[in-house]
Amino acid sequence: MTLRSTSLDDASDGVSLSEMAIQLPQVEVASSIDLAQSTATVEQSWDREQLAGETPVVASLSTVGFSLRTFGRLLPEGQSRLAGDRSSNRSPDESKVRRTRTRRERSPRKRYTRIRPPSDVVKLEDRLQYLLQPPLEALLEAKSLRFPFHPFPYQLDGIAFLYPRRHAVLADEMGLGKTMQAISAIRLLAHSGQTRRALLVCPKPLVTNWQRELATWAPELSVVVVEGSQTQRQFVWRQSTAVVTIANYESVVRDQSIIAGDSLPEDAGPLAFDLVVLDESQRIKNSRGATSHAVRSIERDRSWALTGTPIENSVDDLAGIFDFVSPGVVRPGMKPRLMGQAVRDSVLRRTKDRVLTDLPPKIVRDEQIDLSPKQWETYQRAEQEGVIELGGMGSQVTIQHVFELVLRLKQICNFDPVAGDSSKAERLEAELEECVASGRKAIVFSQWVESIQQLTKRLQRFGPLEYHGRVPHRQRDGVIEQFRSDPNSHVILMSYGAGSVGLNLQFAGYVFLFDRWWNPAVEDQAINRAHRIGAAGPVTVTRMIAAGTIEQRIDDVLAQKRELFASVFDDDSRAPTSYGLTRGELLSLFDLQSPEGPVRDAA
Amino acid sequence: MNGSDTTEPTFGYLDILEDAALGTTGGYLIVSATGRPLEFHCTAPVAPSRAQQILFGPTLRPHLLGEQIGATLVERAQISPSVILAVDADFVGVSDRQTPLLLVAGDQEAGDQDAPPRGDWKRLTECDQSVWHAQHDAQPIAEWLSLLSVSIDIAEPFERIREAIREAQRLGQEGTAERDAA
Repeated sequence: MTLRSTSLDDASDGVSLSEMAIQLPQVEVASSIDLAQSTATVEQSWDREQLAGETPVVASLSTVGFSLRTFGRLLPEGQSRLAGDRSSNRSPDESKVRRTRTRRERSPRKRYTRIRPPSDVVKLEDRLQYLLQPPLEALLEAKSLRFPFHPFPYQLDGIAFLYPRRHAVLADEMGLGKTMQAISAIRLLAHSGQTRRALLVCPKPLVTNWQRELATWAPELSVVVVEGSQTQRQFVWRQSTAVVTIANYESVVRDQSIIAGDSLPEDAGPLAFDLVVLDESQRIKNSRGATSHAVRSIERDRSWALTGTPIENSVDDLAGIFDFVSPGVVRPGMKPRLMGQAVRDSVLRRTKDRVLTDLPPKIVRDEQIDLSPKQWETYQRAEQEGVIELGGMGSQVTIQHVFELVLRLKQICNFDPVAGDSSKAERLEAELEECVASGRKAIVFSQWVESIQQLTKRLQRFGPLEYHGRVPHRQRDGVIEQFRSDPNSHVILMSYGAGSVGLNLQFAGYVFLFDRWWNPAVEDQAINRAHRIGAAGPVTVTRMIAAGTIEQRIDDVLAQKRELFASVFDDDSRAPTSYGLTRGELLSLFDLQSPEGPVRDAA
Repeated sequence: MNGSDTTEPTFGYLDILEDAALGTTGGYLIVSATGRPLEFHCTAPVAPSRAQQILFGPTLRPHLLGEQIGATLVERAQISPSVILAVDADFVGVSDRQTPLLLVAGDQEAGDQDAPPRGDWKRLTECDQSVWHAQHDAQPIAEWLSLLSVSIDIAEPFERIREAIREAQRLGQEGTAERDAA
């Protein structure tokens, strides 16, 4: 049977049934109909027409099929499979794991951590290679990489962030576990064959901390520390087969020629690492410094930086870090908003209040403390004499002169140099009584070792321990361990320089800032020794400020800046050019007058 | 197509992403027994014309998913999986082929149904997840899924497909925007 049929194409889109009926006689008549494409509606129409005894006019839609375009490909493992190389899909370890694990061991998961491609992967097929991989949790299980503690979801996100990236800055707030995230990502890279040798550079006091953390989170990875005599160090640098090499910044600077191969009898060529990780990477914020130059000259495939304070003094600090991580991406003087856009894909920063909603609260209180009469008298005399002296210097006054006066006054706020009075120390003693009664320990930070030593004498009944630059490095771990385990040691007295980074003191419930550092970022680092993952309860932070003194004026300036820290990452163009005290701000602490008028600038 | 002759099973995952503006995009991911991706194909977005909507009526979606998108994607693939898994019951048209089709319960938290599909479907009782099959001999299927579930959650690859489609669409839109800007 030949049916007359009519063709409709997509141009009839949006046409109603009645309109179609009207249009039908006008369209081209075809000689046949593909019955497979005809619909019940059309067939029923034909039946009715035939029953009526008339020659049916049948409209059929010849383009009812869909024009499908597809995109896709065999992936590398699929190609291996088709080639019969199924063994390449799985490591021997993986096979062993699969044989020994059963389905019952698994628990249902609702959240998967995806490893997303970094923005420098541009081709769609390359990006899909990342997105089509199993989630991070499955990759870790496939490699039999277990954690001693189950990571927080944001930590898995951090691992998934680092793992695919060649250029990355993990800038989580202190205490969120940057160390664990970096170690786990290194571990995953090592097990997937992407990293055979990684170099970890950290401040010297943190070397043992990294060793301990590596033993906890990646016990199967071999680790070696660069230390000892030059011969020993050279052996470690050049001959070690360990997966992770730990070196402190000073070693890297000192051993540049060994790393570069220049000093070797035979030109062995420069060392090349698959990955170089810088901990506390704010150490290289000054691109012109020797440390920055040394780490930047190391040949490497991947460059990661870890820091809780990517902007310590100024947004240019980030430019310094990026000179190592990804040179050319940002430059000093860039507008904060543009800098934020440029680094967006390479920087991951999370804060505790956003990701650790279960972390015990941090209670910060500012204690305005009146100086004792003798202390106040000494202070006032020193300030008046100092200001007169500076004013008398007129335009000859330098920033160093101002700085020295500030330091002198701050020291008086701690202890009267003549009478030895200290209102702050008296208040601290009283507060510590309360701490001891609560069964928790306290950390006291000061800028000066002298103040720490004076406090030690006064706080003997609390079993004080000291941790500062004058304590030899080899003794420092012992000090921390004693503080952790000795029930009679209720307080540790630390300098900001030695104790503010890298230490895990979450068993302490109280932090006292006996005097104030110049920079809120450093104070935050100090506070976060106690307020971090694992904190057993709320952490009470007491910032001691001598009322009506230079300390209060400094605090006022810094308070205005504290809120602006995240401006680069929060796309806030109001970012300050300096996070610490600028030259002008330091001068403004005193109303300096000279015969020529107010002193507004200094050399 | 080949690949099914190997002793280790492979799993084909069919899914779609529906977008009011773009239409329906299909994706097909074949994974190994360890959940590793072996092959991936997706379609360009398909938007049925008004005429097609009228013509197919309620059968449009099963036709589009099962006969058009699903069938095309399965034919494009070089690897023939041991089973094909889908969340959407409208992919059932694919089951006419030799490879058995399994229906997997979706994410109930995301509002997907966990109700059994209509027709002659039986639930795989050996499986943690709600999986239905229309085969007489479910034993090998249960063993394959058991092997897969050691490495990944059975329904997890559907999420990968949707992510991949979104990424393809995102790049496509960015490319269009760049061309327009130029």
